[in-house]
Amino acid sequence: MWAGNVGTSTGLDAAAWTQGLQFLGEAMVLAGISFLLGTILASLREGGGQVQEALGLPVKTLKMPATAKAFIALMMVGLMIGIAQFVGYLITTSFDTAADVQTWFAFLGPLRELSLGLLLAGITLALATIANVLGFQFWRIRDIVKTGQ
Amino acid sequence: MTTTTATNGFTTETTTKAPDRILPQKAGRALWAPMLVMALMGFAAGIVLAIFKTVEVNNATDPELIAALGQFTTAAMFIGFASVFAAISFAIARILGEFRVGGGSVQEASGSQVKTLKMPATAKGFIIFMMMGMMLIVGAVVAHIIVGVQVNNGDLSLVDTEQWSLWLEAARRLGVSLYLFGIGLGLATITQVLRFQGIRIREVAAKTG
Repeated sequence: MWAGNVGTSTGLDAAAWTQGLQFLGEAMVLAGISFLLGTILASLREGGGQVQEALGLPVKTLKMPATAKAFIALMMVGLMIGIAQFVGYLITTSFDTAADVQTWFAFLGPLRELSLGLLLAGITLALATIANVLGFQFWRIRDIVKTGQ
Repeated sequence: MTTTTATNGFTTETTTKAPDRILPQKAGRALWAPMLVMALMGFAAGIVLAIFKTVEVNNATDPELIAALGQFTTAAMFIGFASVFAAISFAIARILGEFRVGGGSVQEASGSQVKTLKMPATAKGFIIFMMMGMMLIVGAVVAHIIVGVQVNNGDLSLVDTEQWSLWLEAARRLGVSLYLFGIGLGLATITQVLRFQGIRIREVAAKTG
């Protein structure tokens, strides 16, 4: 629809819908990956605790690291910006002049990239948290093997 | 002393002590955070430049400056993307390092031989694709800056600038694809390590009773 109406108001509306929806979708996919990484972290925590409990040992778990808190914050902000850019594109469909639309497009383009960037930064922090948890759990297993406690 | 053997279809190294991280894992441990900071700085710079561009688009008085700001905004944003993908890759390398050192230390503590997976082909591919993706995106960023400076100085026409933008967009997209492919191989390596460590834990548990 966009390709068939370039230079018309219908084309501008279609451009707004296409770009807004595509990047909203990408933001949702990245948010989905973030939630999956959160699930992995939860499984590591639960599994580690269950093994210690099954051995009759005091259960030691890692307190929520700063990277995990920052992961949640970045993911939320990234997702909110992803939704905001979509709303921004929808607003442009109500504009009367192409000049107004282009002004908004000039900002919405980088804004949607910021959304993806923040979500990816959150994913980085989630992976770093997984590395932290793994380091702790290997230390704990070695401790149990060596001392029995 | 290190010996190389095949264990359950995996090529492994056998040592008496837990191995240290290999160079890419050491780099991952040291560089994931600086790369993340660089990424956030790139995104912040990109948004600031986008605000300047939006003001210029609204004024609609200097098309060369608007084109130049467009180039600079994209360059800053893709410094951010190159850095954040590097940070993800380094974080994956860090996870692999934790598996190597942690798995080895548990085997050492249990008094058994320490068997570690030799670097699989997926890990080598991970590094190669990550490097190629990074070089391509950084090359595109440098080209965007050059194009931006030239159009602002009047050395490059708006049509030529648009042509360059099309080429550079393709290069950036290819760079991102290579990066993502590399990250996929990194995750595949984690899967292999997990499979190997599952088998090795069972072996050690069976021997130690």
